[in-house]
Amino acid sequence: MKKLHAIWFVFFVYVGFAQPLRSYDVDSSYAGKQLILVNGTVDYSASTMRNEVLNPLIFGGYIDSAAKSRSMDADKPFNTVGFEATASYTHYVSLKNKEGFPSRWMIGPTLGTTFMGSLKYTSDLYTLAFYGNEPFLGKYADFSYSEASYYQFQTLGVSLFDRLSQSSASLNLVGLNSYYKGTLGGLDPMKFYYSSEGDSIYGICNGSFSQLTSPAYFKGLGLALSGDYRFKIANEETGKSMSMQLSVSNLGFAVSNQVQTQTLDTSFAFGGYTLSQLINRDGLLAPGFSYADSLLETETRSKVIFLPASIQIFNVINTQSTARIQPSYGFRMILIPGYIPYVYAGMVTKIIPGLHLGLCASYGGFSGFKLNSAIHYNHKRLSLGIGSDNVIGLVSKRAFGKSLSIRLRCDI
Amino acid sequence: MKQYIFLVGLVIVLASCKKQATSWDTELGAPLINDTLDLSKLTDNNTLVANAGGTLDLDLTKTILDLGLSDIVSIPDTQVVQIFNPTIALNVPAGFNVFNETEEHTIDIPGVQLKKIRVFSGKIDLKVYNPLPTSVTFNVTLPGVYNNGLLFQQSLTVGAGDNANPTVGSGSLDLSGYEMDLRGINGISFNILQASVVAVTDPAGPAVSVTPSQQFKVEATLKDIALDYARGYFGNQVFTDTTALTVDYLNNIVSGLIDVNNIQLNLSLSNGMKVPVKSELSLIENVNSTGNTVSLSAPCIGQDLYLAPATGAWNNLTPSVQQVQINSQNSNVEQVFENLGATLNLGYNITINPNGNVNGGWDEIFSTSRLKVELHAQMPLQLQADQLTLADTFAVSLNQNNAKTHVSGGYFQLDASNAFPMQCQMKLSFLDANSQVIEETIGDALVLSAVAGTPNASGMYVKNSSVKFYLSKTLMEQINQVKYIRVEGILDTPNPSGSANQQVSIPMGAFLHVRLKAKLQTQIVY
Repeated sequence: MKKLHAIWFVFFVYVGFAQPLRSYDVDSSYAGKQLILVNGTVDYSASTMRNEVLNPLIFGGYIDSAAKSRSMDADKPFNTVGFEATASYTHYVSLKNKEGFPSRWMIGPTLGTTFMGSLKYTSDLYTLAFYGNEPFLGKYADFSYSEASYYQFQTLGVSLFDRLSQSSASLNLVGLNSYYKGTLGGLDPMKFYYSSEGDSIYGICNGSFSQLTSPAYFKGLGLALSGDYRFKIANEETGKSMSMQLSVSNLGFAVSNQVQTQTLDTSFAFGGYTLSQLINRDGLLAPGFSYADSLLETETRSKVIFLPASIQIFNVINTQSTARIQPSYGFRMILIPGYIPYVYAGMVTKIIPGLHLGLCASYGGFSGFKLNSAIHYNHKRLSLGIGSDNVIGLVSKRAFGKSLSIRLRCDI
Repeated sequence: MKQYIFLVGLVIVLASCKKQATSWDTELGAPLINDTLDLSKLTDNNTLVANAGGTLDLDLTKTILDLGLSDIVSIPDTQVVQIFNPTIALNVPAGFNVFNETEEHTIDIPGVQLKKIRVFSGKIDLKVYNPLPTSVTFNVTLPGVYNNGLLFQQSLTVGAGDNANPTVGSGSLDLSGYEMDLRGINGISFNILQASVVAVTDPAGPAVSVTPSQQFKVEATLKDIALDYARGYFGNQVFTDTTALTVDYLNNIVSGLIDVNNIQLNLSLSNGMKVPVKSELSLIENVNSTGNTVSLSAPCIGQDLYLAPATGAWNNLTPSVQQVQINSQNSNVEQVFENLGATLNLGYNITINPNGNVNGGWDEIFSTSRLKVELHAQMPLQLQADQLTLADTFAVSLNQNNAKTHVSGGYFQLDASNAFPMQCQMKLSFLDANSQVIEETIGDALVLSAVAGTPNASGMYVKNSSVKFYLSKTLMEQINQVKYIRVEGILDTPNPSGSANQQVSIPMGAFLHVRLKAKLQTQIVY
């Protein structure tokens, strides 16, 4: 009986959140004077790191050896972890035409906040972090081409909405709160060799790390464009047309005059100190000696930082359609290291008029194959959706991330 | 009310959503020490020398006393003041010799009667005072003071002054190289410096009036005089002291025994001064870290040894030498060394001119003259160690926060290649601020003696050992209380079968190569 309850619960959750909500849109009312859009997404995912490791890393907790091992088993030469947390609010008001009636254009303020980060890392970097350097006895540990980046910014802009085509465009002022970017290896590799006896370490070190050092709340300012362009394509077999949407967001930049970049380009061999060095505190052990100062070159200057823009194209679900089942498919790309093109395909089912459930399979992003789901309810002028791009991750420790999105659209 | 309760509940729930620490365990390893300990520094400076058998002998020379001319005779800074008052009032024309006077001045050197000296360095400062209303030239000469046959002479011309405010002139002259005859005008005195002053008024100046109330003054000051030759009688001087030779590391021996053989100590006394000397070795004793003292019992202790004056001149000086042999046959010198004390006290009394002025004041000391006492130790570096325990304590500052990334356990591994014929059991003690033991960790194996090893490419026997020192979780939890680490090594010199200790010689080129590495279980916490 308990199993039955569990299956029913899982089924309910899965179906309840079916549908890639971020790729789901509906037509707006032609008659509304105002339109309010609220979107929110929290998503973290990994290519090989399972939730039993990811969750403690993000929310705290102990990562036991079995959990580390299971993620290690899935490891590939290169792996990715990424997260995205966004929230936006847009409030359109209708413009009037010459006759005093609402025109096809709506305009309004839009504001949003974005936290986005990614890490592309080698299998050796995972091993070093979670198992130490013991596994590298007599081997190279290669961290070359590992990359990490993090952006936190807020946007405030004005958006123009064409209710006829359901397309929109917005120009946003960007306030950059935080930015980190690190790379290991580049032109030269970043690797270490730990001798089989454990008595020597050799390293070739090449990398850089950038961060904003301004004490201001907004450490950089810039501009960004976002927009949706909706168009129809005809189905040659059925002769019916289908709405497609091309969306671009955060296509822009921020300028900061205090970007500190530390670069490392050196090699070393270390086999231990001599007793004289230890007793007399010579060389590396001398009081006041700084490893960082001796190895790193630090430069602070103004820099243009490009935001992690995203582009996606997908078919728009027609909530007015009489069809019981509609296909759902799309493509998304975010310009951030480690993110691979994300594609999904599935179907949307109308349960009852106004209530749609969707279920898709996806591949890409920071992860591999995932099951996406969403539920969307449309009643009169209110449209509300909630969904997940990784429904299995919501309940399984063995999955590779979690995702949750909400969307509210209100025509007044 | 319900809304209020809901709101409060919501705040409590949100406030309780504090992120738990993320943590996992990992193992980190790193090399810490890589070094070779050998005796090359001691062989380079010939403290240790190879013998015919390919093993090392100790060949140590220590100078206990080394006296030179400056230790026997020194000239204090001396000021000579010569004053002249005219006896009658008279008017003097231009270029008039106001006064011309030679005086003797005694240099105060108690107990020493110097007849002749040569200045190595130093100077004389002259200061003259003119009370006349015309310029006066002061010609100062020091009779008996010559440099390469030239008499010391200095002229100072000073402008017009008056009796209340005489004009002052000054000058300085380097005395290096000057020879001084200190026998005085009659040639039979000692410690006498003669000074002659002639004062002449300006030949182109006006006639002036000279009265008895006017005072002409010349000050000559000998400063920082160092000698490189002295002749005379240097007095009956006694030099007595107890010198401590310390080898601090021996204080680290806390227990155990060593057995040494064939010690040869040679005490050498050398008199390079043309002065009779009497010497006495009053004491040789060894004091160890427990305060135990073993005094040398030998015929030479307390015995007067007379050293005749050296012969020859400065360039062919032949010192007078006395040698004293101290060995296992005529003394308890082995027991003195086996006491393993860090301090070796040597007491001596040196007397010059023990019988007074028997040379008729003809003592001579040259720049090359030295009165020296040297201790020369020579013996095979051969010993037997029986549980010889060395211990040393180091202050440390170890801090870690268990709520952050910290070491939870692990071990240190010492890999040693030992070419010394000794084995060592090592122990680490972790002590708190009151030197109380928090935990001890004993090496899980011995650093084995080379006698159990195999020959390397050079034919030297080498034994490899690997010793681990484990750090318990309990220790790591208390690591912040650790303020000192005591390292203890128990040394033995076993025979090849390990059944007993034996006398061993240290082979030439012996070394101990150590590599210490850490394997630490680390909990990453953030």
